[in-house]
Amino acid sequence: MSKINIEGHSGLHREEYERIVFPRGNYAAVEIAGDYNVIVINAGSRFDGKFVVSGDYNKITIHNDVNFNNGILIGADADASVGVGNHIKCLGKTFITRDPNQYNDHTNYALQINGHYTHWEGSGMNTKVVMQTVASKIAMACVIGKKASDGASLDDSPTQWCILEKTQFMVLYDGSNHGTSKYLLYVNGDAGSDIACGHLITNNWFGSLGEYDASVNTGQDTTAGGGGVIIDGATTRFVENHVQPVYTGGTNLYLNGRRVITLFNQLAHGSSFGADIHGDNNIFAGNLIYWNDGKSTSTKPINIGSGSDRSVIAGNRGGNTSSITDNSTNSSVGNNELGAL
Amino acid sequence: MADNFINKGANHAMPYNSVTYNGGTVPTGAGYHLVKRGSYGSITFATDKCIVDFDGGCSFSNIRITGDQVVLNFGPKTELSADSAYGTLGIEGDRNYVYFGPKSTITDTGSSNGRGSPSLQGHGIIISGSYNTVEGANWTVRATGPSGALAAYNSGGSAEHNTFKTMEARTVSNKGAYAVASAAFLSAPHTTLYNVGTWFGAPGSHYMHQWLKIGPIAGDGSPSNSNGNGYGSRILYCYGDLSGNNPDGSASTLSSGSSGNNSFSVTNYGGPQVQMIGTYCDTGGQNGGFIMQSSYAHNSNMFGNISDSASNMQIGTTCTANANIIDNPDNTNGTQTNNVAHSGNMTALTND
Repeated sequence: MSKINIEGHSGLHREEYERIVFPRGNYAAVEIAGDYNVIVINAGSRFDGKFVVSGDYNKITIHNDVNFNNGILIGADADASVGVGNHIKCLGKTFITRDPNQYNDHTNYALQINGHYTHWEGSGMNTKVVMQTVASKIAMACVIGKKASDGASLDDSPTQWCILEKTQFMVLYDGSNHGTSKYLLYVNGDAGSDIACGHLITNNWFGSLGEYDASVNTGQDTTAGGGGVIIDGATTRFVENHVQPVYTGGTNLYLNGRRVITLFNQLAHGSSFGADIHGDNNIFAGNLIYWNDGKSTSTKPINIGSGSDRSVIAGNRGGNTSSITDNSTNSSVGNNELGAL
Repeated sequence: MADNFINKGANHAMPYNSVTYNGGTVPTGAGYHLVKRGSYGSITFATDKCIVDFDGGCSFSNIRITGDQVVLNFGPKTELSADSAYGTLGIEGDRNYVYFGPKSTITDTGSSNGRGSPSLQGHGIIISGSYNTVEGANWTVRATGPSGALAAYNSGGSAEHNTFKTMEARTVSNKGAYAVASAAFLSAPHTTLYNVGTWFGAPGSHYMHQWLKIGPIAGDGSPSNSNGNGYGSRILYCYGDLSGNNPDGSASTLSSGSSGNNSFSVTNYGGPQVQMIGTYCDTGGQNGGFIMQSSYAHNSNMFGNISDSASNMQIGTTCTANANIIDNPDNTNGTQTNNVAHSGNMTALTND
């Protein structure tokens, strides 16, 4: 009689069309290289090595209280056609992070999504993707797009058609050093931020739950340079998300891709812009940019750069100052209510 | 013991009531069942509360759900292919949920409906009950139908509150006819189309009437609920792309038809109080814009959409269109604020 499950283990899995169950336990590095599997990770599992999905079209369900202590890579570092079409779904408390002792000297990620059509589905704020700062190093909670902003050049085949939803992303101050820079999410596109990427990023929380404060304590959002969320990938829908204070580090939401639709988000407004829009044909509407009194009151909630052409910035509520900086051309900027909330 | 690991004892078994292997009969009674990879033919789920997990690689002809609260959790690379009077996947009951794993296909191999002669046949996935949801893993899940790849419709007008989420929908080359072919039909009231993609123009001599249509499935005389089909429906965060950069990797031409066709639209007896929000329509320069203008499509709203098309935005006198980027408004009806007309100069689409 054949069996219904294959037992998951550390190391390489090349099975196809199988049902693979990881029983509760501790695992070293794992690579899912096969295709079309139904994979279940049981509650209480711990992965101390990197969890890599290089196979295609797998459905991976992560049950309650599972830790990934050395990050998750979906795909391959430099090829968006590897690790295609996987759906990873978290059902309960899930924690994805990296060991700071194993950071490289440049850019470090907890969750790398590089394969086309990846669907990352958290369980809400119980799914946390967290990086901690390290002196002289860059920390990013999540990156979408091969050849992420680690100094490598981008080409004309960016990662496309992904869904990122229902997850909390944080880069936290370790109590001694804020690191070189940080991003909560970096979405890469092609070199010109032009080619349609088609991602849907929705119902996520970016940043810690800490309140805005003049001081930064261990475990709060770091003040390292960089910013909250940057979107270089074009034709991306960024909707119904929440971006918390990012202190002095930079802009909370930086929109460089073309044709990005940004609707119905709540954005905190740190010492830099709440939203900084530079791509052409952007729609930024129905968002709330709120201000906390803990920081300087001179920065405007929304900035529209001169590189943006034919964009819409309308129907937003922006805190703090009573105007928007608009250097764009042929845009419609109106029906925004501004000033102290 | 069947329900254990290879070379292990009887532990970690999932709590299934039954396990079915290739060549067996898929259980359709109430309970929690597992079906392994195999080929299983045509199945009707008529009993309430039947819950089935499927492994990857299962194939079927058609599947019909007439019970309520049935949950079908299909694995990767599931294949449904049929020419069935009930649709390839037909859901006639209420409160059912169907999930398709990555790279699954649901294909109707038959013919489209005749105009004025609506039926469940000819659709990849058709829902005629209420409160049902069909969800794909991502856009690698493909529904295909010569009438509609996706449809919510009931001849008695009783179907409502159904949802299609996250999959690709496409019509078929050289099939279809005026008013009866669309990637998706929202004919039953309060239907939600969420993150559905469509990037095949069904080239050929026949019509693809619309891309995503809020309206009847076979033209006048085929209402779900009299005139005003699909009232209260929503098209949310959907994506149409016929340009060379679509997921197929090549441009696709729309089938022949008048400029009033091939739109993301509410037309031809489509219902009132509908919304289209955060949706892309990239025709690759072909005709096919945003339309919410029929005598029945009143009190509707378009918000935050982008279209490249030279076929312009049309809305009715009681509609609103806000914060959209379109080629040009076609009329001054209703309330139109903060829309940007790129006037054919949508520079950002050069490489799109």
